[in-house]
Amino acid sequence: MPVVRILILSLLTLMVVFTAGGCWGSRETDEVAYILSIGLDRGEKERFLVTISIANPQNIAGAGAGGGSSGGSAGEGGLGSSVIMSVESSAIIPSLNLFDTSVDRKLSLLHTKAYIISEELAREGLHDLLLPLIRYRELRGTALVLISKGSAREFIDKNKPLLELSPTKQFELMRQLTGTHGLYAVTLFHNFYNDLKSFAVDGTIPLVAIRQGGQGSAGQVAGDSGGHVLGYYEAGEVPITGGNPAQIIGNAVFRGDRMVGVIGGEEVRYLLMLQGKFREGKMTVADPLAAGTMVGLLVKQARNPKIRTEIDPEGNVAIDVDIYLEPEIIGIMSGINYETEENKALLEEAVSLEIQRGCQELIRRTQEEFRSDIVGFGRKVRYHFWTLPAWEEFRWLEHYPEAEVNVTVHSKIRRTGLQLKTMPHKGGG
Amino acid sequence: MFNLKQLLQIISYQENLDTEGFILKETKDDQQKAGKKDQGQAAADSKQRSGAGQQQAGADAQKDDGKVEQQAGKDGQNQVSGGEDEGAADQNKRSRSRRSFRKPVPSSGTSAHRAAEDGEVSASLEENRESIRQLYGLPGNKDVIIRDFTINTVPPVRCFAVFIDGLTDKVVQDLLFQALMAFAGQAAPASGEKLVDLVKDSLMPGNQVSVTASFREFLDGVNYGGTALFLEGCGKVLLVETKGWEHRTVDRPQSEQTINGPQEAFTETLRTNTSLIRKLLKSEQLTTELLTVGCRVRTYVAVMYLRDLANPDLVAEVKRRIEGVKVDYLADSGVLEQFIEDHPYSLNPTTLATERPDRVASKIMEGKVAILVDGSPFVLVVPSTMYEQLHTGEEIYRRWQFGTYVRYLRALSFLASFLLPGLYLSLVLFHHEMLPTELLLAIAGNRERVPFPSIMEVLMMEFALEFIREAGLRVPGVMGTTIGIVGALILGQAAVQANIVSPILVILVSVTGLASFAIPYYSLAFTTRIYRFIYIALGATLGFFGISIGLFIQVLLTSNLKSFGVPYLVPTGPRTSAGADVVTRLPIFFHESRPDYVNPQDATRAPKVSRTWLKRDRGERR
Amino acid sequence: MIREGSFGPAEAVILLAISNIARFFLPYPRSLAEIGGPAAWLTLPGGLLIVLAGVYVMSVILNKYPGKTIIEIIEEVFGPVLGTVFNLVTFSFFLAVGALFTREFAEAMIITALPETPISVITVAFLAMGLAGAYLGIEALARASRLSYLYVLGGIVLLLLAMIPQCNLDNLFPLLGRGPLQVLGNGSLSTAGVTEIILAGVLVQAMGGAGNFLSIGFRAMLLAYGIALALMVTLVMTIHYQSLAEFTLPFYQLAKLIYLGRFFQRVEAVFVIIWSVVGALKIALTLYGATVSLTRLLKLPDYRPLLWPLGLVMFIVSLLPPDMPASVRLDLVFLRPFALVPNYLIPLLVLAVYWLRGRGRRAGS
Repeated sequence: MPVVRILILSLLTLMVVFTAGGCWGSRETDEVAYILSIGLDRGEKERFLVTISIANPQNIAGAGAGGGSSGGSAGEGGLGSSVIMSVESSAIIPSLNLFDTSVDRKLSLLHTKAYIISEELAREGLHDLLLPLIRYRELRGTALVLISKGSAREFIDKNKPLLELSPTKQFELMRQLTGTHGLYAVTLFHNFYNDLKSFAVDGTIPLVAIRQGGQGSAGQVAGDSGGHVLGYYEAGEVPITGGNPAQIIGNAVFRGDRMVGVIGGEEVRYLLMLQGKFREGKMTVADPLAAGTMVGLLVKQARNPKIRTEIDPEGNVAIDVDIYLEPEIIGIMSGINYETEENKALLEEAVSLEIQRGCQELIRRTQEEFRSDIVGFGRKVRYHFWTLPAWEEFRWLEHYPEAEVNVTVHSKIRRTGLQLKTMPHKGGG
Repeated sequence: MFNLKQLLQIISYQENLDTEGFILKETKDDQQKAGKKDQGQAAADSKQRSGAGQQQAGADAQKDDGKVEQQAGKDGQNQVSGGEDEGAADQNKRSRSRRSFRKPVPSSGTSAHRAAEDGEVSASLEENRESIRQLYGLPGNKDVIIRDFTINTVPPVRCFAVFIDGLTDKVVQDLLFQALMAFAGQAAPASGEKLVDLVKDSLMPGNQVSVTASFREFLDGVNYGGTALFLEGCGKVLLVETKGWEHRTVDRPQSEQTINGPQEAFTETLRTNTSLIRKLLKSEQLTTELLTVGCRVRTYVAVMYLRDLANPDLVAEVKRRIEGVKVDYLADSGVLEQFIEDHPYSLNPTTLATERPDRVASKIMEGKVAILVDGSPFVLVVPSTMYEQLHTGEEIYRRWQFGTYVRYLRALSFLASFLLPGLYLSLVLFHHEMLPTELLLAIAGNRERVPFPSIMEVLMMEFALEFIREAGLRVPGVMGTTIGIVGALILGQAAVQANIVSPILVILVSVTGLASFAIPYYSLAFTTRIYRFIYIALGATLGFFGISIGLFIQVLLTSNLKSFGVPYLVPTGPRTSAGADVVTRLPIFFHESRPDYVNPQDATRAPKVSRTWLKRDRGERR
Repeated sequence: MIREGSFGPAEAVILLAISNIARFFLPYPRSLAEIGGPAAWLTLPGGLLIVLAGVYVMSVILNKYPGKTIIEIIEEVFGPVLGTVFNLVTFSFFLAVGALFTREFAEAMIITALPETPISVITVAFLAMGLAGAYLGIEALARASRLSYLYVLGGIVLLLLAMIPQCNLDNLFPLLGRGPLQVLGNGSLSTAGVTEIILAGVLVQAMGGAGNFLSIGFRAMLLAYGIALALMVTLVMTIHYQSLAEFTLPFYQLAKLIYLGRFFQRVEAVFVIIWSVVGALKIALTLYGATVSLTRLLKLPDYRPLLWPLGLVMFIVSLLPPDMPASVRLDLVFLRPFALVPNYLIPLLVLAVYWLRGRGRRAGS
């Protein structure tokens, strides 16, 4: 009976494979602890203070847990949806093994959605910090990288998204949310890594912080340009009370792998507009006809900016940027009828000028203060070179501060919201 | 005492002669012992049995023939009573040789039987009666009735009719006897040959009458419900077709239900089945060839095809394979399938068994060959491809949009039916990163309370589902439908509450079950059921890599299959012109050619323009 | 002599194309990025031209000896001694490709999907697939590849489509990368070695004879290089050429970047299925090629008895390189240049000898 023999043999081999297979790297979900976010600070004794936040699946799955603690708050005795731990270590990935001395499960970076790095570390350079990570198989290239203004540990500790059951949803939503306001420019791990390797562009990383006790220095930065306060804040300065103390606004600017400065929310918008990644956001501009009042606008980027670059034989670079915007009126405080032809043109002019000024100012800061091409003009300058050696020889990033950049903003009000005309109101005279 | 002895004998070691490859001669001692032991019991036994048989047969005979003529009853009585002692003797002989029933010791009875079978009909009624007695084992065999009577010709002719009780139609037989006994009234020629012709041509009212001299043909005719007429002084026998046994009427399909299209299904009667097909294909080209399979008991196998369409080579091959089957008995078309298929070791079925005449008809119209087995309500169609096995025939009856949609749905369910649990396991055991974080945490959270490894969990649920499936089939009638629902619901719910499985898995396993039910061909669904466990094993050991090993090997093995010379995955397996009806079912007027893999004699099904009215309309308008 | 079965042009095209693109799932694109920088994709059209020329040469040769495969032709043209040497070169080329592929695919599996599984298990699994494929014959392999190509291509197309949001045209510049010489010279030579024209030459009788060879070859090469081009362009546009040159498995890296909303992300494991199937096909093909060429060389009636020993040899050879970088380096430094010998050099020599003889004969008569 050869058939029977073959059948039995194959069954036996299957069984052997089965039983032996247990140790070939299969891991049950309840043998793994998923790290949702990692915080990196400068340690006291060792190089890093690594903070991890581990998901507590029992709580997240709910399933009639009834364990007292509900949702994300890690209050009364029971576990919240995540557990936070810290350890000092000289390297990041090996530190996971250190954690394993106290966590009974294998720690996994497979679902780590955010890497939060303290400003202090970032100013020293991220190169030796990110390099080992990118090699690690479990890393998500699509994870967020964030710079924490204070300590990253504090951020992870105090960051309690109140609406989310799952702690990682916050980071996923962060990624989408920037499309609706543009107050920070999202950077994914692999984006930043690419930028780090590129000779054409410098990176930025969104800034997060925990709001400190009082109202602090809010409004100081915005003081000079007459009132349009929205968004000159950096993270931690937005005067919100209550709710989650964690804030994300503004970006850290890098030169190479070192953080060299910070741009506020409004400036990030200009940055995004220059890059063509700005989708929409609410802004205010000073009313061109009634001093001291504001016009609220929903600004959308109509299409990608046109960037023309020129290099003269001496290597001087001239860059012309045309930005196309489509604002939509959402509120006119003064009650002036901006829907009419000529008033509309006036308002468009005002918007263009305002944004143009902002962009120029941002570029000035990057050229003089940061000396880093965070917009990525270099990508366009690269078109002038045929071969890589020539381009690398040109050393664009050194030329950037001397480049001449002209920004022209074209705005066109396409829609005026639900009202086509503003009638004067009777109050006040 | 006696029981103990028997028990001891049962449990003590005995050489099993069948499997040990040699045959021991029975010693004298053995024979004696066996004879002594069995004799008393057997004698009692046989007496009782034959007594009962006598009563029964007598009653039967009375009922049947009493009406027609008194004599018949008497004859029956005679015949039966004559058989009494012989029957007992026969019983004795058999029980005596019970222990050696497998031993190839030819009894004298069989050789006599052979001789009689191969012999010719004699002119003497008595000799013929003796031969029939030997052939049918009369009078022990109570089914066979020999009815003596005389034909009412001018010198009356003595004759007798032979038929099997229960296989014949009594109304037809009554007519027959009436005609011969009452209305004949003609002068009978002296010669036997002429007598036969006279009876056949002018006396006998049957619709199919044949004349033969061979006992073999006589046996085949009578065994198949005919009535045989032996005439005095004539070396021929008349066979009249009087079939009329109990059978199921044509019913709705049981395993291949459809909404649109014909609602008839084959039954167990070969002739009904052929007529069901012929009813749909009213063509003189439709050919039914009858073959017989089975050495001991002959089963009719019909091969149906369109003479001007089917590839002659294919028909010849089908017939060659069927004729080459040597078994003693062919139970069902499923058995024949296993004898004639190309790849008995493959999991995939390479013939299509269907119970829907409309499907068979459409396949015959493609140039394929249908094989019908007497007694089986399932008809085999060859050659068959996997794509065809995923069709129901219903897609053609519907509009093409619906048909196409259903086909793709089915393709998905085909894949899901064997891949889903394996994929789940490899995701949960190896590729945690692929699941969205929230889903993963939900799965993980639910699994925290489950004490088993995932593989155990999956296997438990899978086997539970398989049990439900099998039990649902076997549970008697009314409970059958409920047990499926109740079993699945309660089992799943309870298993989750008892923390034996996680709720996600219950969903997964039931979806897999549903997917496998969505496969229209039962054999193919079986294939996927078995493949599923292979994929579970592979997924649990090597993750997606394991799954891809399985897929690769499965694709290789499947694409290597052939069904009567036609590659199993044909329109894609080897790429041939796909036609309009593989997975995407194009509008009906694009179905212009038959599948070319069967190499039909005429490949075009319809002209380029099948809706000629379109053209005419346009022309008139212009 | 050998019962090979036969398959149609559609299957032949797919079979050869899949066999050619298998390399792009391995570290190979990385080396292209090294050669070309942002112009890594430009190495492909040049390679394609060379390959088409090679296919043409092969078809010319095969057409001169209808009914024979390249193995027999070589032997006939060069005589028993030199011919056998050349055929052994071909044979060892198949063996080397098979062994290195087995190793590299196994390593790729470890890196991507099964980090804790011993390499021998994965190698054995790959070889089991290859043996099964080669045992069932080229017909089954061709059909299997024809069946799976929709999923392979579909997967690649899906991947490329999913990468569109992350593509940046600017990354293609400077257009000529590391210089025209480097890109068009070195790069083209490198990509020309990707294909196995010689395999097509060995399989020619199963593909329906020399008559179809040219069109099958051209279509297969165009398809393969088209896919590879799309892949390379997307790679360069998505991943900066500097990082591209760093990654062991650029294709995997690409798959890792898929992000289509919160639900559909990190689906690289799905691509594990696709490329292990492609890998298995490739290994089965090279094993088959090696076995059949040896069988034809030894004039044996059946190739199957040789399968098992050759599979074992392949297994052992595949485990010889001490580490992953070594096997990649072997592939790059040794196999790429070596590939040019049986694929281009030998056919050209055959043609030259044939031509010379023809002249000699003409001169003689």
